[in-house]
Amino acid sequence: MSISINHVSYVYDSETELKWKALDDINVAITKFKMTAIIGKTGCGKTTLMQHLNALLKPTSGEVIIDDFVLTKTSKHHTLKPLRKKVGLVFQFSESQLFEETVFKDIAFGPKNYGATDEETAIKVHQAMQLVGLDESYIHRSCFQLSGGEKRRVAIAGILALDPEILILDEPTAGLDPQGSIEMMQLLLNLKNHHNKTIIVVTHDNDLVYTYFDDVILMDQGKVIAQNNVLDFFEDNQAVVLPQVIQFKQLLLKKGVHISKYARTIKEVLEEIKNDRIR
Amino acid sequence: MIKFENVRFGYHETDVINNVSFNIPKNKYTCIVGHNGSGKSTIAKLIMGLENCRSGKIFVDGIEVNDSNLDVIREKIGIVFQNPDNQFIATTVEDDIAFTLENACVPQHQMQKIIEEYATKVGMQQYLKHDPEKLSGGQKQRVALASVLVGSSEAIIFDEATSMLDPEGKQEINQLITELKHNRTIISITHDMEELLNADYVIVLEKGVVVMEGTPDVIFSDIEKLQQLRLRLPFVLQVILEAKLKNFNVNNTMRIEEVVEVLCRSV
Ligand SMILES: Nc1ncnc2c1ncn2[C@@H]1O[C@H](COP(=O)(O)OP(=O)(O)O)[C@@H](O)[C@H]1O
Ligand SMILES: Nc1ncnc2c1ncn2[C@@H]1O[C@H](COP(=O)(O)OP(=O)(O)O)[C@@H](O)[C@H]1O
Ligand SMILES: [Mg+2]
Ligand SMILES: [Mg+2]
Repeated sequence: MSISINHVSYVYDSETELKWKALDDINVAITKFKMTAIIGKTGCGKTTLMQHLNALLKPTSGEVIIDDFVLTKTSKHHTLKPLRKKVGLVFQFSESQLFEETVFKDIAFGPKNYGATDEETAIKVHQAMQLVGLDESYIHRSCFQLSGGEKRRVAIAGILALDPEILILDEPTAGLDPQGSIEMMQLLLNLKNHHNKTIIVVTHDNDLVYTYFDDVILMDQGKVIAQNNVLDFFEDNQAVVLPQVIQFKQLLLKKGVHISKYARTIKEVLEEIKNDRIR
Repeated sequence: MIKFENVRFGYHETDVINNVSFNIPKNKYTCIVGHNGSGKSTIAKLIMGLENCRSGKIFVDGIEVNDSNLDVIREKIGIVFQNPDNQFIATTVEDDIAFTLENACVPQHQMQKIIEEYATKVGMQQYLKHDPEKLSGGQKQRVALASVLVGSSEAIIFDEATSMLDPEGKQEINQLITELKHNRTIISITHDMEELLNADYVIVLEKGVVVMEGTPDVIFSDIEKLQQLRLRLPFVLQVILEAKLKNFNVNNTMRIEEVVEVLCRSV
């Protein structure tokens, strides 16, 4: 069982003069039950690639394989519903897409749409709220009275209520303050560690990637140009702005103090120095 | 350059800007920080006259902001909004940049060159004929930046204007903004605490109230207060605090290179 993207290209407005090749022969496999970050400059095709994973877009050529689904240019619309249930996609600025009056109704929309009974729906809503850390007091509140971070949680809960195995989020921390970003990361980490979700995130925050993620995919101009586990990816990478902790480790190295690749927080770095001193 | 005197404002009954006073210095780089919902964007809207305060006064370059002089205010101040949608006037990138130039009465024959120069500065030269609404979020922010930078406003407000950019883009744009800073007033609304280290002046907002104000030195001398406010500390201060806990001989005013010196000497 796997997620793989084989020779996928995608062209926007292919029938017109403005046609634009947003994905160019992408080949990549994503490991399940991990947290994978997709990074790269704005406009390099991250959002376009994510939208292929739940068939919001179909490849112009090539195929997307998710377990036993194969998505190609010719896939028929009615065959896609199970794929969309398996792969939940949380849009960028998802909070702007809340439209029901109350938190309950908004989260319930998905399960109802997939034919759940009222009773099943209520259970799904409660479970989803718990997963995103919204307590019972929110259930009948109006979405419009919530903060940006809270709204984003409601939007994620709406997707989780469909019980996806794979959760994809497009820049889930964009616009959140640092505190809100850390809470978002802890939420995702919990979904991975305790609920067996596969998490795929588009992000620009390399510090968060380094601290919380397992794997990294780097894109550039419609192509995947690197893929690795997070420790090795950042250790000495000329192609990206390095996380602050790595920059700190490099300053130490210049002065002759080598820190292992496993230390990825300030605390861990200082602990290594301290242990060296004792030894 | 921009002065608030006991300003109150709310969208509904409750005030979200609560008796705020401050004075943003002319031709300096000022950062405004605070959690989501603390009122930063509202302050920007009040400065631009997009909302009217309930009480108190706002002055731009000595002129009180009110409905009769919005043209003057908006000529003096440019803004890049937080949400990159809905800030485009034209249907192509080049026309959007041209619009600012027309307002600044730049002769037609010089326009194309200037448009290309600024599109290149923000890395959007390949997209001149594209519809800005169809670009990705970060690309929209770049176009919005070019359209404001190309103008001749005395002050520019950047409301989380690089929030959707990749780190390389952020560095490029911050570099661009720094180049400007010599002859313009820059107001940067930001969550990036590293950026504060290079500011001339800092205003910290919390729930519609100014809770800290001053030069970066003043702001970062009160670490306890910053922690109470649950604001993230700049990286170097995070290292210093952690190093103190581990009994390394460091102090709060050190630069990262100095901290590294101390750490290396101990090994
Ligand atoms: N709906 C669209 N129509 C035309 N071009 C688009 C559309 N959406 C994205 N593009 C273009 O495709 C490229 C990739 O965009 P996107 O996947 O949004 O990038 P990213 O998410 O990495 O910033 C960009 O050059 C963008 O301008
Ligand atoms: N258009 C609006 N209508 C009603 N309330 C709003 C509107 N815009 C902002 N608010 C509220 O005003 C407060 C301050 O918001 P804002 O100035 O956007 O904060 P910040 O930019 O610091 O995140 C928040 O509580 C927010 O929910
Ligand atoms: Mg995107
Ligand atoms: Mg704001």
